[in-house]
Amino acid sequence: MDATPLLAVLALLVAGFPLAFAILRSPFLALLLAPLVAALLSTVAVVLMLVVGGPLPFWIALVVAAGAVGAWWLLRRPGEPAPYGRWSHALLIALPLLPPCLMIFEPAHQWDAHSIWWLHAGYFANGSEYARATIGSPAFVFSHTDYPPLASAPAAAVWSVVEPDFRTAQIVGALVTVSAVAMLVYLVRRALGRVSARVAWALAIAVGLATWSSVPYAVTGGLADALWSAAFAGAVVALLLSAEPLRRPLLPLLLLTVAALSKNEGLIAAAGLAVLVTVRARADLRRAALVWLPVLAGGAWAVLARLLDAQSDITNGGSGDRSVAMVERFQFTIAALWDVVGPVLAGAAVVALLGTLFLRGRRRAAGLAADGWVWAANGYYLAVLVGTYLSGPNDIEWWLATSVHRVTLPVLLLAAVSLAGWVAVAFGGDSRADSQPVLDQPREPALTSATPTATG
Amino acid sequence: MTTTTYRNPTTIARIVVALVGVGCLLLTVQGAVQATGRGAALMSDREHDLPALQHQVDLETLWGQFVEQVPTGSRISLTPARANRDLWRQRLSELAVLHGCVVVEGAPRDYTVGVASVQRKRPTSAGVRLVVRKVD
Repeated sequence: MDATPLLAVLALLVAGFPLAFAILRSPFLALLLAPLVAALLSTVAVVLMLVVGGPLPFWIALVVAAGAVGAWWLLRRPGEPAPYGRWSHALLIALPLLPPCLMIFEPAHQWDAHSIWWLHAGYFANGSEYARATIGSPAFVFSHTDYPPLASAPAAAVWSVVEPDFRTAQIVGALVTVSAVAMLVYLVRRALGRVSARVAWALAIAVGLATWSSVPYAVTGGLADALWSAAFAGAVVALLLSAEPLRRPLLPLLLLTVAALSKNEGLIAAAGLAVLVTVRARADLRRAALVWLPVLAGGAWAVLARLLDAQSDITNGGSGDRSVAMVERFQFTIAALWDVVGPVLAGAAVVALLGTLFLRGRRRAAGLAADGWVWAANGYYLAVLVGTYLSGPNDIEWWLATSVHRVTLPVLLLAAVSLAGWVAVAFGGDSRADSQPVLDQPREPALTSATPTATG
Repeated sequence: MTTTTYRNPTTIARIVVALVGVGCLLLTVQGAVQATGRGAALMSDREHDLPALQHQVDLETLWGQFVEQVPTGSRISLTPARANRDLWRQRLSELAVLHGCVVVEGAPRDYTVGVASVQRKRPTSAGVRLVVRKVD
């Protein structure tokens, strides 16, 4: 049996663990976060390689060492362990996500995994000169070489030292994506900290499982959609659902950076979220400015890709079907969106409306922010999605058939986040803030957003 | 004597929110249930999704032949396949990248590389082979 996938998994865990532990201060949660941190570190290595030059293993070694130094520096600062950091909590997060991951036994055959993400991993693994030439090559326009590198970078790191194989790439991609989903589950649980533990865990797990809602192979097929969507939804939960959005900024900022560096839609969604967080935290703009760092990172990649002559099918136009009238494109788009997200979105809207009318006091008592923020983020992304389908160059029917199930995943996840908030409020006993639900963790002290001790 | 019980609107709202909310969340979890079932089937039966398995076998076969027949760093041009032209152009481009070759669209080039269909001996054996020609 080939040991490469196992060694690759171990390498990701080891590379990402120090920084993950420094952020969360819980070894069990850090194990769940480590693959995502390793993916981010390998992305930094890829970008440095493209800018400065040289082979990828050199930059990987340098960045992983820098990550360890950064972890040591963070750990020297005063901090507190993240709540829900016991081994039992980590198991509660991870175990429910395992059954749908059985899809990892599916053969590695997804079109976009091969034509985009693993192909990019291949040229990154071959070093700076080869990667630069391929990104700008007209022979690879089909591969969307302008797409951000995070979904490809961990596989590239592995392939830069061992013979490429698709099984390893599939497993590495799945591990990184599950890590993002685990952080989404964790952050929902943390946001529902004042709700009964059983209800809060059930809802957090349900939100995590919603990652598989529209595409069963999304997590394990080698695609980037579930990765950026789960990371983005996690950032939304931490920054828009929690009462104190910037109290522990590192984890949500890390997730937002992952979203912005995984796919172009992720960057656009991250920019919208940054605007909303800035408005929400306008009383402390200096701290709110932190949320623009991930957008800056995504923007820097977009500039680098243009400098390397990467071409985008969306911005460059193409052989698309321009004869179809805009009205017809709009009708096709709305019909396809309704088929995929309509029923859940409508149900979530009814729940949000009823909740806003009758349960606002209980929501405040549960320590949750107004639901309108989550809906604003969702509405913004949905509007961008419709605008892209209307203005894009591709034949609209083909385009919708091949993408709408994947790109609507953030819409479903944010609807699930909104639903989880209201269901928690509905199950949450009486409306007084001092009610005594069943808790499995001491309540977090009510600290202000400027608390210097919080890191995660 | 009869007594009339008036339900608090908030209580009714809580019940409706809980029922509709849980129902919608169950809708979103349905995909994970399907993924679990399909994953279990794939685990117990390798041929559960035969077209996907055949594609994987084809690609692995082409990869092995590519590594054997085309030296790393070669300049190659791709010969269009008779069937599934886009699929094989993109997959051969991918294999070329994984092997460190340069895909060119004209001269100069070292090799032309294409894909030819072959009869599958078994459902899970390869249905393609690599066609490599050295350019003098």
